[in-house]
Amino acid sequence: MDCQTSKEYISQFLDNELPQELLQPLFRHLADCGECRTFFVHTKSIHDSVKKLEYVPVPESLDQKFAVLGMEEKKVSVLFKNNFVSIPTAILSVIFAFMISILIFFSLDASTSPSAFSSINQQALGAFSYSMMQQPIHLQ
Amino acid sequence: MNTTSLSDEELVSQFRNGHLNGGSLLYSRYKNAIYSFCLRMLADSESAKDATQETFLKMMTKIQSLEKGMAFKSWLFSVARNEVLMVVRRGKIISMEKYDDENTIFDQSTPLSITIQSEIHDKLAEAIRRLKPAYREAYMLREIEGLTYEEIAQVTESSVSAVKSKLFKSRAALNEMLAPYM
Ligand SMILES: [Zn+2]
Repeated sequence: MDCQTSKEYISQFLDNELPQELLQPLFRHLADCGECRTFFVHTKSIHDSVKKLEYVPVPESLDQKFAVLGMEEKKVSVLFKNNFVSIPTAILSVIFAFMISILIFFSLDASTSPSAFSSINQQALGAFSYSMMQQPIHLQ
Repeated sequence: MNTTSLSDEELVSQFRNGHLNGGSLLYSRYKNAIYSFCLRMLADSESAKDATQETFLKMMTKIQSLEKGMAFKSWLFSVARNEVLMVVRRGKIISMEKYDDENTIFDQSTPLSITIQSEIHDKLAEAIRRLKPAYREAYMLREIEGLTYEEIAQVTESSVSAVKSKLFKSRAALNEMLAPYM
């Protein structure tokens, strides 16, 4: 094996891409060749050092731009995914529940006790909340 | 479920199905890698920022073009490389001829600067910058990003044997540049 081939094999060896059958000829050459041994040691040392090079962090202004494009939606999904409702549905539901409460309040007889009102109202809201929970997620 | 432990493929699938959360996590996972790649290729922070921005905008709009069988990471680096080439073609940083030049492996015009405090990492980063673009991209995709020879060939639109050769020559050049400090 000549030194040029040996150095090419060293490069592939460091990448774990050298075929098994070429390992022995390479190391036999390295045992006899000081120049290639030095190449091996230096290349391996650079190979190990380059792994420790750190990424340069992306500028904050770019993060902000992508936050507007993506992260806002992320916040929305995190906020609503556990409730299984979309934002418009949630708003409409609150308005609807409020209107029902008002209607129940005015339709009740003046003699109705506060506890009866409270129980009807809770039932109505409970049933409504349950129907809300059955709706699929639709992020707008 | 801890979404950060999801694989690229799972996040891509989420993103393709309309969940921006998947895209947002892919952005977080690769933003620094892509910016560092663009910066090391272009050596200009403004151009690198533009190329990074365009890369992720393309990710958002063209994710459907990612073919089955191609790793997302390779695809993303192909997009980033194209954006780097767009900057180069506009002649803002270096000419296309110099980008494609495979006759010289590294810039030998001036020796590596040495300061007493400079550490091997600074010299190494500077030596990598001295590699000609065609060699630098292959070297970074292998050593920093850990792409396979096949993936580098895909990203750089070349052959596996060309990739092997570029990696060997890059390493030999770095050895030469850094020999005085070893
Ligand atoms: Zn030798």
